[in-house]
Amino acid sequence: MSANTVKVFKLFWADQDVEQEIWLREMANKGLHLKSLNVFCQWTFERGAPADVAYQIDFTSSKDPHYNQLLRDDGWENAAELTGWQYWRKPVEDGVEPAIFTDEASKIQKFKSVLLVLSLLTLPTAMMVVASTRSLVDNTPKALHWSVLGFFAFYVPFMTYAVWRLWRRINASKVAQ
Amino acid sequence: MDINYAKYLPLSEATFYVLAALDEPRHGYAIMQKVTAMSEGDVVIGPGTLYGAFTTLEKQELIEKISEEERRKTYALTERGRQVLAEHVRRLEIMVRNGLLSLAMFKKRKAA
Repeated sequence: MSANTVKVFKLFWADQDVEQEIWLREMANKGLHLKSLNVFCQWTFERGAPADVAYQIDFTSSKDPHYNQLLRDDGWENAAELTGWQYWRKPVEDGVEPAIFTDEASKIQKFKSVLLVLSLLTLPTAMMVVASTRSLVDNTPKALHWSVLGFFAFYVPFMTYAVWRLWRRINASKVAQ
Repeated sequence: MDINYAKYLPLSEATFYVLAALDEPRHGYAIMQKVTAMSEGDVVIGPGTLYGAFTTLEKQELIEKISEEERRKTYALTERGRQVLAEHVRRLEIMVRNGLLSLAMFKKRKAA
C-alpha cells in the first residue's frame, strides 16, 4: 500500500445513497478522493488537495456508452465501479451540488433496478435453502452442513432486510412526489 | 391520427421542457443546456433523469433518434410529439388565463 492511498472499511445498505454521497463529499473536502472499492466494503482513497467534489451513485449506467458520454459531457467523472454501482463525481461550483437525477420519478427508477437485482440474489437462495435443508442434514458431515446452514441463516435474513429497507425507501420517495 | 391525450398529459415539467427544447434536432447535452436557459434556471435536468426521459419518450414515439455521432444520439420531435406538446400548451393557456383571472378577482374583492 503506497503512502498516498488510504483504505477505509465502511458498510452501507443499498438504499443509503445519500449517506454515501455525503460521506464521499466530506472525504474529498479532507483531500481524500475515491479511487476504488471492493465487495468487502473496503474503500480506497487517494490523498490529494482538498476539493469540494460532489458524488452521485448510479445503478443504471453500467454498460451504456451513450449514457456514459452524456454524463461526461455534463462534466462527470467515473471514480469507481462495484458490481453495477457507478460512483460519479463532479466539482461543486458556486455552492450548488450537481445531480444526475433531478426528479423523484427517475430516482425511484434507479432504486427499482437495484431492488430487482437484490431480490434475484435473495429469493432463489432462500428457496434453495428451504429445499435443500433436509438432504443437507442427512447426507453431509455434521460440521459442513452446520457451517453451510449457518452461512445461509445469516445471508438470507441479511439480504431480506436489505431488500425491505430498499422497498421502504422507494415508497418514501413515492410519497414525497 | 387520433391521439388519446389522456395517455400523455399532463406532462411533467422535465418532460415538457425536453419536448420544447426539440424545436430542432439536438443531442442530450445540448438539450440539458437549452432547458436550463429556456426555463431561466428554474428547471435543471440531470443526465440520469434525461436519459430515463429519452427511453420513455422514445417508447411513446414522441421523439425519435435521427442520428448518432461519437456516442451522442441526436433526437427530434415526432409528429405525435408535436401534437402532444401543442395540446399541453393549449391546456396551459387556459390554466394561465384562469389563474390570472382568479388572482385579479381575489385582489378586487379584497379591495372592495
